[in-house]
Amino acid sequence: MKNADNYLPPLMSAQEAVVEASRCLSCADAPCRQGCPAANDIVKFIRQIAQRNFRGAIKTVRESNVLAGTCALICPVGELCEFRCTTKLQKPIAIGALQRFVAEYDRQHGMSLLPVKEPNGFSVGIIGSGPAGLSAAFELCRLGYDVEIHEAEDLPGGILTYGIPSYRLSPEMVKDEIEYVKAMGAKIITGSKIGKLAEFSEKYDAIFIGIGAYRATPLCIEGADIDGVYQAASFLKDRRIAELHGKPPMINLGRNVIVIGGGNTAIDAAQSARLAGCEVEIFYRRSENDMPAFKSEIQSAKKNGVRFHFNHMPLRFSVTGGRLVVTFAKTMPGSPDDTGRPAPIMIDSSGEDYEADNILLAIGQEATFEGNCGIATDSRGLIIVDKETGATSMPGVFAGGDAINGGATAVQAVADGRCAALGIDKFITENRQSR
Amino acid sequence: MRMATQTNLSVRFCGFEMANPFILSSAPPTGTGEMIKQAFEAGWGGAVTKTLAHDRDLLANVTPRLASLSFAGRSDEAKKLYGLENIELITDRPLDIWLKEIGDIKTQFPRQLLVASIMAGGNDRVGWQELVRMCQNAGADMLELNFSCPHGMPEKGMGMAIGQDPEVTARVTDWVKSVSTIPVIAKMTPNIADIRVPAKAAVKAGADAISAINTVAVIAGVDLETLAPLPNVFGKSTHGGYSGPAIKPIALKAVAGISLDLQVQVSGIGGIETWSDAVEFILLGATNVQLCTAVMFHGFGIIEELKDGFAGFMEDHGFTRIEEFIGKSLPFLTDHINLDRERKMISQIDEATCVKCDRCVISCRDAGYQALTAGPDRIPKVDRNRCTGCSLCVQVCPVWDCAKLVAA
Repeated sequence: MKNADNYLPPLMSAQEAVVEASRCLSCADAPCRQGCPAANDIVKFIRQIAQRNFRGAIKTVRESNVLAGTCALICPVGELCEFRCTTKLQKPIAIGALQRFVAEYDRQHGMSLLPVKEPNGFSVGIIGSGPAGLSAAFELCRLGYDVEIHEAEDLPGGILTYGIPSYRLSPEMVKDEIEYVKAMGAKIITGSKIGKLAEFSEKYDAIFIGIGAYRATPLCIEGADIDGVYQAASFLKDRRIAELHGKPPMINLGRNVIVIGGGNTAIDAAQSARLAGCEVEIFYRRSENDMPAFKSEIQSAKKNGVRFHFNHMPLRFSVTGGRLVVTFAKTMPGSPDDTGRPAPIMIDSSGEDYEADNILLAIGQEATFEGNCGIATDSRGLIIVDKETGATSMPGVFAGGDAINGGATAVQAVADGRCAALGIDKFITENRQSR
Repeated sequence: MRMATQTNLSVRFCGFEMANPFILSSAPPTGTGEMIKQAFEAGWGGAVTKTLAHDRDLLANVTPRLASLSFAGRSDEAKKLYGLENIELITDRPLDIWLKEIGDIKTQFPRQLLVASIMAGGNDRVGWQELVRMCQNAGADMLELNFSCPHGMPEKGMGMAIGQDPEVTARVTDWVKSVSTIPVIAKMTPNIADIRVPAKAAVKAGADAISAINTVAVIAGVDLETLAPLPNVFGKSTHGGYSGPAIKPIALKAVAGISLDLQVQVSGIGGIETWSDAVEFILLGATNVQLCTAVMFHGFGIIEELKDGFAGFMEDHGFTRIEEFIGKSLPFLTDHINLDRERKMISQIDEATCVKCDRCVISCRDAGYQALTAGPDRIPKVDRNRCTGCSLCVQVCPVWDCAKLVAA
């Protein structure tokens, strides 16, 4: 195994944090905050660090984001808060690193719980314990609700536990922040798969669905079911399960691996394969600029020796002499498709062959909710919600996270969970008045 | 996990139960009733109005009114302020408008402490007593007597001209007390050999509390192009009042001295920017604190961080009420003659965190006792026989907790 340490920069010392925080200009109506989906009060928490009030700083972050430490590690800060930092005078403030510093400080000094209101007698059932579900649970606990999270897997955390590789997200941080949500009062029931939503919803005053987007978008080309071709998400999950239980992984990759896709799952899979000692190539059907993956992750993958082939579209998989062969066609950018990016147009259909021992597919995720009975979804199975409240088409049922957007950031899921929690509170308060 | 706690930040000052000890001092942030309301909305525990006077005593302001001592910083840093000089005057708004605003504020914010700062001449008994009656009738909770403005007003026998003369200080305080029905705070100037003398005169004359300090009389600098001192008002300049972090140590000593010598509540002022500054003033005897310069730079919103950090300190030390630690650091103070001369400490450099700048070596060589030498590895070595434990190395070391003193 290659050393995973060089994927994360070292934790700041207290002095480094205070000095860095002291550079912050404390802008009015701060642009950094506008760049944060969770609307983290960045100026305030950074000023608290500058004043050495580290416990106050972490509490400020948790006011808007219960997964402060988790997001500090995996947020694409270069595309969010730090990207917006007023940089005419100086380089951006290391907001992510500062948030990570106070989150670690909090873990080492006994995590500070935020105040909760008196129990209000209402209960909310949450499906899924990923970032959206945890965030909704935390906000509802603060408001005095009785909260039960149902998690189908053996362990809570959703994508944080089963998706994101440990080289960029410390499992200890995830575990502690889940414990934090539990300490705020949320009950987490693992191994609890929801059968029919209608029956489930009878037990609660409101429901929040945060089930993520786990169904891999199928690649409908010749040979997609050949042995040795895996879904990247399954590979990542297998790695995490192996780590969590201290067992060898079920999926063992050969020396040469081809990853197909341009999102964060593709990059995570490529980097994980690289860490396992593989030679890794990523093929993507559009240009580098059109990749949905975070720029910082793409750079990291390049630095770690992952090779990229842009404007390559897979035509078929086959086996030749015991090795897998992928035939790729070259593409060129066409007119914009419904995502706003140029559609890839095939240049010649004869294709070019690339050999590999294994192939990992990461061409997109869709949501699937087997227990669904009547909630409006779009063509990808994503739940349609009211943006202001997180309300679905079914009264009393709310949703957020990847299940509504198909796969964005953890911090977006946190923001969705919080938004829906406030929507649920409004719904229940109004209902109570009309009763 | 640490359970969420609700720290009680209230404190009793001259019989008034304040929600928290943070007060806006008499200065530009309290320049209008509307601004004071904004501050109360943001969570400040109290405010002292910009100083009110009879319309006949008002003087027009000049431009500019500010100059500062700042650290330019590195090329990738913003400039940082050490101290701010101002030649701003007391309010330039008519008294009747102010009196109406005082009533408005108290109707809307009955639980916040509203102090009317007032000023008249050292010989103007009627003027002082009229101001007292008008302000208390308007609804002010307390009065603060401005005996300390260091620029402009002293030339008219007001402000610092009163605070620098204990006799006049006592006389005016007595006039005020003879008609006041609400508590009276006397605000002291540091521009005097011993601030305890006028403070004592005011207390003897009946002042219910002392606020200290007002600004320090200074010249912030000279413009090396025009050769005019700052601030430059169309080719002329004058000294002003200095505030901000630079004056905090001066204010701490004043507050400690007054607290040790007099049985009186003190409102601490001078260079308070953070919760920890506020804690220090209270540990040295202040009951509450007043701020201005920090608000001039960061706005009313800093009250959030002030309260939060302050509550964190109380939680860490197990204090449940501010009264439990007012003056708690005063017993440590003694005369120099009483300090321990027997025990010694010497320097120790932490090799793990040393950045090998060897600044301590230069300082010790040229301004100390030649006790530090740098070897080929550039890590300073301490000569135990030469080191006298002055701590210059600790002061110049750029790293936290690298150079420190240990038992000899």
